[in-house]
Amino acid sequence: MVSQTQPTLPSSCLQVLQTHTAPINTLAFSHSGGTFILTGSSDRQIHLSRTEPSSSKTTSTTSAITNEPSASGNIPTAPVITTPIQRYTSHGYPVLSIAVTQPNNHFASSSADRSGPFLWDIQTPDTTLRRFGGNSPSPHTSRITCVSFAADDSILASGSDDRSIRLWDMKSRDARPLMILEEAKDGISALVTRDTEIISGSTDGRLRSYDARMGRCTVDVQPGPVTSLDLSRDGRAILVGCLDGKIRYMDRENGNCLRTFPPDAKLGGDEGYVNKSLRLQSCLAQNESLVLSGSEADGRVRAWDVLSGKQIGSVEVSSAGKVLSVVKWREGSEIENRRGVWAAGGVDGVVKVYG
Amino acid sequence: MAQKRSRRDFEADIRKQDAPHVIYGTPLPPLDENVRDDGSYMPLWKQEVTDDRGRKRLHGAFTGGFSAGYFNTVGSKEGWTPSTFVSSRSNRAKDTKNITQQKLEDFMDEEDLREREESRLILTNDGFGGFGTQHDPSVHDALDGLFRPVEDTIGEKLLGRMGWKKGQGIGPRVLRRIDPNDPNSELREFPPEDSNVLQFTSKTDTKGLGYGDEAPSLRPTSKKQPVQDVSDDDESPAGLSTAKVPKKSKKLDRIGMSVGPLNDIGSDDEDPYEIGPKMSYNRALGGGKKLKVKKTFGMGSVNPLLKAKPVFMSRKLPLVLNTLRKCHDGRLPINGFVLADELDAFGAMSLSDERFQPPVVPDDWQPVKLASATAQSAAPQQPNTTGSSGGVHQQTAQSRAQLLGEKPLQGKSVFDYISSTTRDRLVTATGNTLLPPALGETPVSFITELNTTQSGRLSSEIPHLDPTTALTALTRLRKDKSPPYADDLPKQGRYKDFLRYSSTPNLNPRPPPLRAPHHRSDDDHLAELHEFVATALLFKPATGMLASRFTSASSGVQASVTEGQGDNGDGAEADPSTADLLTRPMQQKPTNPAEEAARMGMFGIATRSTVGFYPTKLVCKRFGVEMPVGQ
Repeated sequence: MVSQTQPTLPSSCLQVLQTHTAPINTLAFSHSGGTFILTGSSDRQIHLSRTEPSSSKTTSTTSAITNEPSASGNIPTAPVITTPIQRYTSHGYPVLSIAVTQPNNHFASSSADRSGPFLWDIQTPDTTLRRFGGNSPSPHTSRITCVSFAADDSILASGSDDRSIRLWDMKSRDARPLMILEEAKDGISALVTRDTEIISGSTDGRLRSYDARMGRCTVDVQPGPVTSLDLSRDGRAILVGCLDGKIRYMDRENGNCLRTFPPDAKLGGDEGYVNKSLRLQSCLAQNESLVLSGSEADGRVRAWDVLSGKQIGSVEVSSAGKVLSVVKWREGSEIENRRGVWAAGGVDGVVKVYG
Repeated sequence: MAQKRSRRDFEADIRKQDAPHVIYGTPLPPLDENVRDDGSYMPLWKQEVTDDRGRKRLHGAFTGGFSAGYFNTVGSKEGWTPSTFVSSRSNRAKDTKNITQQKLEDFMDEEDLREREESRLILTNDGFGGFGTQHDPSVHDALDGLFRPVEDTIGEKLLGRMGWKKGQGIGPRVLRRIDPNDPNSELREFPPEDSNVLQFTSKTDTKGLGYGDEAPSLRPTSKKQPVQDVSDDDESPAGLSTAKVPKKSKKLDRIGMSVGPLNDIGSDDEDPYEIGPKMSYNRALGGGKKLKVKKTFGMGSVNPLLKAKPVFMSRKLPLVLNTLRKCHDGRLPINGFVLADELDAFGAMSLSDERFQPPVVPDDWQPVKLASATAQSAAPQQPNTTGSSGGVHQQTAQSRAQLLGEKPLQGKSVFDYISSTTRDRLVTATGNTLLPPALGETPVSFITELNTTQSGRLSSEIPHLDPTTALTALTRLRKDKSPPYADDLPKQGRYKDFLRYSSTPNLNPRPPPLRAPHHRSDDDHLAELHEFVATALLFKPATGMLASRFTSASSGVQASVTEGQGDNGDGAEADPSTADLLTRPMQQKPTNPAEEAARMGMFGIATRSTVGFYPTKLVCKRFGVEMPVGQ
């Protein structure tokens, strides 16, 4: 009888991307494989790099996985990348969010100015395909904090500090937004989409789930401003990061809270996870059995087990103790001989990929 | 850097200002697409005026030049230049070019065209006119030849080409004897006889239909012309004459006299407005005298039915005879019905068919009415006298059922479940005192309560309190320094329990609120619960927008009193350092109950709410869903 193995946090560094010169604000893996990673930073640039070093570079992949020292006796150091494959430099303000289309040919990015989300073609870094806002009759009026594709890449949803979510049409060349959702009382900080739903988290402490099929918007109150969202694959549960210092795994059907990370003091104790004032993006990992999040206090990434709620590991990503603002997971698959990796980027402008 | 707007967007923007008043619908398209209406500068070549045909309207006289007789060609950029015309011996102009001829209509404007239309007349061709009327050319008078051109009509021409001769009929040839009178003469084929064309006299008077039939007295009788009788030939039935002249009235026969405007010829017997046939009433008393029947030879209308005097036969007579009959039990039949004395045809039919025969009554059958009455219900029985029909309204369902001999229903009526007070209310509302008595039962399906109550109706009568209000009242209870019922702690406990009960409506099983031991009767308990509802509503804190505008009063006097007692109140009040401040920092705003619930960790119903989301049609199309109902 094989006991169910506890999921573990991969902790060997595969690659270090040191292409940026300012804090990293957002990370996005390419779809269906995640071979590439797009990083957006406060240096107003978006860089495209490989997630993992190409196989010619790694000396012994096996040792990296098992975390043992190699035959030479040295722990293999992760390669450091200083030049990205592509640089996208059209933004004039810090890049705050990136979203990639399913076929991986375009991606959208938003920045701290209100010139709207930019739509790029991956192959042409010199110029954007489209710019929403600016020319548009009703663009965003404040910085755009999050973008996401919806409805099979035919709608681009962008949330902004002007309390609105604007839906932009990808199929037509219309400059006007398809729809403006203005239910929030404070800026939108996170957006996720799924099928016919758009879920937004706002700094007014509400989680709003707009369902186009049912014609209703379900509002869930959170104890503090919502800063990060991650949807489970079946769409029934959502991971909500809140500025009261807790990450909650909520059930979307009835609004119950399934788990709270870090767990209460009487259950597991406070492990030093702090989230009081900055936007930290957390994510589900390892086939939705783990929750990963950076921290404000130390430069560590913590992993909690979803089933038990306890912390199962942490990795020191930033030795200087800098804030780790974003952690993203890329799912692995046995069929394609790909391992699950996670990438963390922080204030020091370095992205580290662990697998 | 902002991109320059395209020309199309710029023009579209200007177009939008054309009709700012249009809120619903689309504004009318502009008269001229190329011309801007906002008063901006327009070059001269765009300022030209053309009418709907494209011709230029204002000729040179308006713009300073002169037209010199050339319609709209002078004054243009080209001025008066002759158009190029090339024709050589090899390349003739009339062969190759499609020479555009100028028509009369090019030079005519709308007024001229209208005048031309008006002066047009539509007439029938000479050859077709006149068929069937007195001007028919086939009816030849001797005078025709003098005044009208004798010409065959087109139909005659066509028939002639096909072998017809004038005077013949049209159709297949007929076998006839050469001499019609002699039976021995030879048979030969002859063309058929020509048929007579019916001549219709055009109506030149204003008499109505049936004139001449109904009022024989008014018909002009002239000794000169015999009145046409019925024995005329079939070809001219009554009504059609052969070019007759309408006759003058009797008075005109006497030479020199004429009838006045009322057609009054002096006779008192004739009523000019009489329409129907004349009836000869017996004007003298003591009737029985045989009336002389006036024989009018040839007089009277053509209609034979009108010759005889009609006899009045009342149709109501048999009805009157029947209505007085009564049914076998002595009662009159129902309004509108009459006892039949004989069956009609259908009745006879149905009786004969054995399917419709009435069932055979067994010999020992007893009608239920005569059976002894068994007391079925408590409703008072009215004596069922056959004579009085007022008893039908004073019976209840049970008594009627009993009268009819029906078995009592197995189902329960609503009166089994309601309380006596409700029944009294119903009685006063309807005024019907004969309602069945109220038994306060609980339905079987309702008995799932853990706590046994005295009667099943209690759980349905617990007053309802909104769950959110209950939650706010609970938090208020928790936080408040002087909660309600501070002097009666058990009551406070019961209040809290009631709030807990009200805030979880969907719980199953749902334990009912605590009951005071001294409350023996349900009504006391219910009264206390109603009081709790009122208390909860009274102490409900303001939520939402109102809360952000108002804060609860924290009077300085109260603060100074409580601070000395050193109780653990909210921040600033108990803090002695702020005791001598003139203004105190604001208290924490009263929070949303949903936020409170979220802070406490009670996610779920308390934190969830729903708002309508109405995606636009295009958004629904992108998502691939139908537009949700309720827009």
